[in-house]
Amino acid sequence: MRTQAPPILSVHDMRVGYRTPRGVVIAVDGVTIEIAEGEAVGLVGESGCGKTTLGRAIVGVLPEEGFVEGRVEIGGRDFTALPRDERRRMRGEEIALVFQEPMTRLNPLMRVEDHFVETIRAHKSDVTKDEAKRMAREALKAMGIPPTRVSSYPHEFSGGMRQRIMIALGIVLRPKLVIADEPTTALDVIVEAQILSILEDLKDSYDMGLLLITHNLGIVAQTCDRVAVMYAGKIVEIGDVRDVFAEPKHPYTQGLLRSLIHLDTTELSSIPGAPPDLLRPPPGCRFAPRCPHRMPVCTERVPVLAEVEGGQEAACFLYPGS
Amino acid sequence: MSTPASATETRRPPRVRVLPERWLRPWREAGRFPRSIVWAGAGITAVFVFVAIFAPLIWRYSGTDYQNIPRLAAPSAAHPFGTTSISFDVFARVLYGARLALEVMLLSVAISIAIGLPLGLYAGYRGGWRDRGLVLIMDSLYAFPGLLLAIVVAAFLGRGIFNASAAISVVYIPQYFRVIRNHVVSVREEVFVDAAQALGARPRTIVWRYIFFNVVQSIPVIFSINAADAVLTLAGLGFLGYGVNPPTPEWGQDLSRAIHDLASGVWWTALFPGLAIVFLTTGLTLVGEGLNDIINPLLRRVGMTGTSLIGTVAPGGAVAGESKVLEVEP
Amino acid sequence: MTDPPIVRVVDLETHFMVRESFADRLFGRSRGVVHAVDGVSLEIGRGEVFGLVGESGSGKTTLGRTILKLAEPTSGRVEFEGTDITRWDEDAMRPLRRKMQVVFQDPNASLNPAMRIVDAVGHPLKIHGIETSRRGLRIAVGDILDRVGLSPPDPFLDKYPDDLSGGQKQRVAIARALITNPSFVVLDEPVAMLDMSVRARVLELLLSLKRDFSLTYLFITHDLATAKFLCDRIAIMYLGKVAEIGPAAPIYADPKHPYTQALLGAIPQPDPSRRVPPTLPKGEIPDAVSPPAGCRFHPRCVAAIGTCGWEPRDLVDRIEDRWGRLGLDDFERERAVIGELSAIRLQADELVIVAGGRADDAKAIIEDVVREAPALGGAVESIAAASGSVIVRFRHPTEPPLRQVGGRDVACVLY
Repeated sequence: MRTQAPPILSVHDMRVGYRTPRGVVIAVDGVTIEIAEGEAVGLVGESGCGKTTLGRAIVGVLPEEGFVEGRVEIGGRDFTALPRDERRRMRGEEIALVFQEPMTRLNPLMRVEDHFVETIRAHKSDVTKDEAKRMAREALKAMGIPPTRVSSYPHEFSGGMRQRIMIALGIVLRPKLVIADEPTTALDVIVEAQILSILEDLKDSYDMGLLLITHNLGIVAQTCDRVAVMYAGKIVEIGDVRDVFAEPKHPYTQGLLRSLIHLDTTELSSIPGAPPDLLRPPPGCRFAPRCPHRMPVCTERVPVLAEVEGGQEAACFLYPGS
Repeated sequence: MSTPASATETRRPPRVRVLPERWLRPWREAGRFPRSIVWAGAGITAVFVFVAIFAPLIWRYSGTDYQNIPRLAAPSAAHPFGTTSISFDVFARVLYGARLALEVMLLSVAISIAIGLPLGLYAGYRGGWRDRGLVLIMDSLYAFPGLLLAIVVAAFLGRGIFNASAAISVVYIPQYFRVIRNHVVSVREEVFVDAAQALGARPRTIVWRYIFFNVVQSIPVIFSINAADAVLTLAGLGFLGYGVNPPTPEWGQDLSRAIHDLASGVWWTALFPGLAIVFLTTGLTLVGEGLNDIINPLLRRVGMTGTSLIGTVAPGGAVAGESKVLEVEP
Repeated sequence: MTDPPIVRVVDLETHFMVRESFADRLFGRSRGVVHAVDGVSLEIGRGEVFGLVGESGSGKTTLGRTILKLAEPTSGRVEFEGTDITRWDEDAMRPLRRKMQVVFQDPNASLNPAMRIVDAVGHPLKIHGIETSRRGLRIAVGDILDRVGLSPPDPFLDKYPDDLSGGQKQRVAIARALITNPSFVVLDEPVAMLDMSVRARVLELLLSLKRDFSLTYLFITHDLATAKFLCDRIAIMYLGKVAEIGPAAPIYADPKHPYTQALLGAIPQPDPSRRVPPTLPKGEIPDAVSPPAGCRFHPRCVAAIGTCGWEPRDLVDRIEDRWGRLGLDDFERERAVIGELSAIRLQADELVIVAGGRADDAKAIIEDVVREAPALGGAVESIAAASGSVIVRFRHPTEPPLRQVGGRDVACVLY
């Protein structure tokens, strides 16, 4: 991890819960993570692990029933302590959000270039309309959207192009951090590869930090520098992407990687059981009921993340320090 | 092949349910506010139902008694709501008026559903020109102002309880038709309907077991609003001289006659029937609105509006938990 | 193949009308035709796992549905166990549905929320008169639920789909499909919506059921990796037509069609040490209403040559691309000469730009565009400027047929 500049994103001991009719569900339970400038970190996990909730909580876009505890620092500033207007401003200027279905965030009644003009002028009121349009065309051009189509409406574009427009919209003000939640899940594999290569180029050209939240381990392996694996609301393993994929330390990561089906798969493998109900999580390590290496201590105490070797951390009693 | 986990699990017969659990779920998950609205409305309505059923036991006069009753007497112990210009006891008129109102309401709603529901199912499922034709007819009826339509039909049919109910029901047939039909059209596209066809189910089975059972939850809401409006429309018909035959106690007619009394400072002949109309209608409307809030979950998410979509709050999306894409298996 | 194929389609086409506005719907007008399946021929052998692979918009789901007669074929033939069922209506199909079944992609949507599990899974038995007594149904459903891994089955019988998890619901859907003992099952992305750690279990279940029930599967998916593991033969579909078809092993070992190569290359491998930036095709799957001429993949293909089927539309796209790469001033300058792209006339195999006095400048620009795209240039017969217009003539595009190459069939001019 680069240690010169302060991390662009620093999340400290975050807990996020929802009030449901059946009780309080803690979807994220004590997560600490940092992203350095220009670093791409993948946050992976299966459904119910809390990764999407974490992403939303970081930028403060939880629905009403949610509550958040913990500290979030973006660009060195305490994000959670900022007033709402300031947070909104930062969301446009310093943080870009890319979500799964771009159509829900694009106004179908506004032309594409007007989306840009509005965003730009909302954050930089001294920019003229023409100047803003020029910036819009530049950003869209970088995404491969020709100038002849900048005046079209969002529904006139295909899914992949809309996602590009969303990305362009997000980065037009040169944010320092991009948070992408399942940005390519709804897209076909070729378009997905195109979008990922765009994200990589952007990361390199503009030195942006990227938090990539997804269930797709393949794209994390190809795009990210570090990876954090989440299970039942906690991070169970985190480290350099090459280390974690080559030698996963946590039994869940091991099981997950083994269960992936890729072109060289010769044998099917799965993890028995199911993730716990977060209304009433099991005592101790939450993966214990399904873990092949379960020991008595696993149901008594909760393991914490500890360094196993060379920057790779795992929360498991198999390793000293947890 | 099938090995039961424990003896008790297999022996126990399925629990008898009055209402399927899944129908009760929206109620359980609703907040306190919509539930209180429904209780309040139901309470008011229940009072009127009680009064309508037990009218003869509650009060000694009937709505058409006039012997030995003073004319235009102000409210007193003997006549709590006063008397009318033709020696009717207003309290009795209000009580028995409730009976009529509820009778007409139930009858007209029954007719509306009996006609609107099957037509809606048919049009929604069949589609094509049959659907288009029915929609055209229903939309034209719907475009008519309700009371006007009821008057036209009532004038045509003449007076009487059944005729009044029929006139009112015509106003509401398009409502049931539209809601059911639209719901059917959307449910028709669902995968499980496709799946039913893939199994080889007949259209009749599909429409009933698969589609109807999934659209039926829209009915209670319309029913309550329909009921409220039926009461109001009946009163309107009565006020204008249509509807049931005098001297049957009917709030609208009483109100119409009471207008003359106002000039001479007699306020009780108009106030009490008027209040009765307002309260019963309000009670039914509250039930309808409350049910609507509960059954229609979108309305529950009040406050999720955003002005500019760009760079600000993202809309709801996944709620308690994760992306909708993946599921987990125990 | 000694046994006759269990399913056979010949030149199958399934087209849908597009009705955009309410007025269209009211008057039954159509604004266009979606060529979802546009001339596909294939055979599925008994006991095979046949993979139908493609991206969204490829027509694979529609093909599966047409084989099951859940969608009406527009032309061509569908045969099941030797019988031509193309024109059979729903009443005729009904008894056949015992033998051909389907498992849908979304377990949350394919079960009727208003039916209990025992009723949902037992429904086919009632429909086909196999079992109608309440007791008999409960036993039969219990058996099949047990077989698909929902053991013990009794707690599940009276639950509603809402009470189950995604993986459980998918097993219920599989049970429902198998309860009548079919011979052919269409699996439409059966594990796409399940978590990774759960997919393997459901796939293993499907394989063991296939052995025990002697089933034939049509496995529809966009996931080439899963298809490689599961399927004996595969067909890669693009925009309603088959690009490559044959036994799975040679296709994966040595993909011939550029689209197959692109698909395989684009799969993100969960191995960080192998980060090869693939040469990706441009753009996305176009609209199936007016698919590209000739080979449908040609506008995106990195290996395209002159005979792939270039047409005037492609030249307009090239101009647009070029303008996307130029600086803003150059773009404005060229646009002033050529005019709006929407004003360019496309007719038959010709492209006409009305440029008035600047026809020669326009011609120069067009020649430059063509020079930058040699594959397209190979199909251009002439570029002429006459009476204020620039006319570009193309050779008439032809579609490559399926040819046998290296143990499989490929539809590509390169072979």
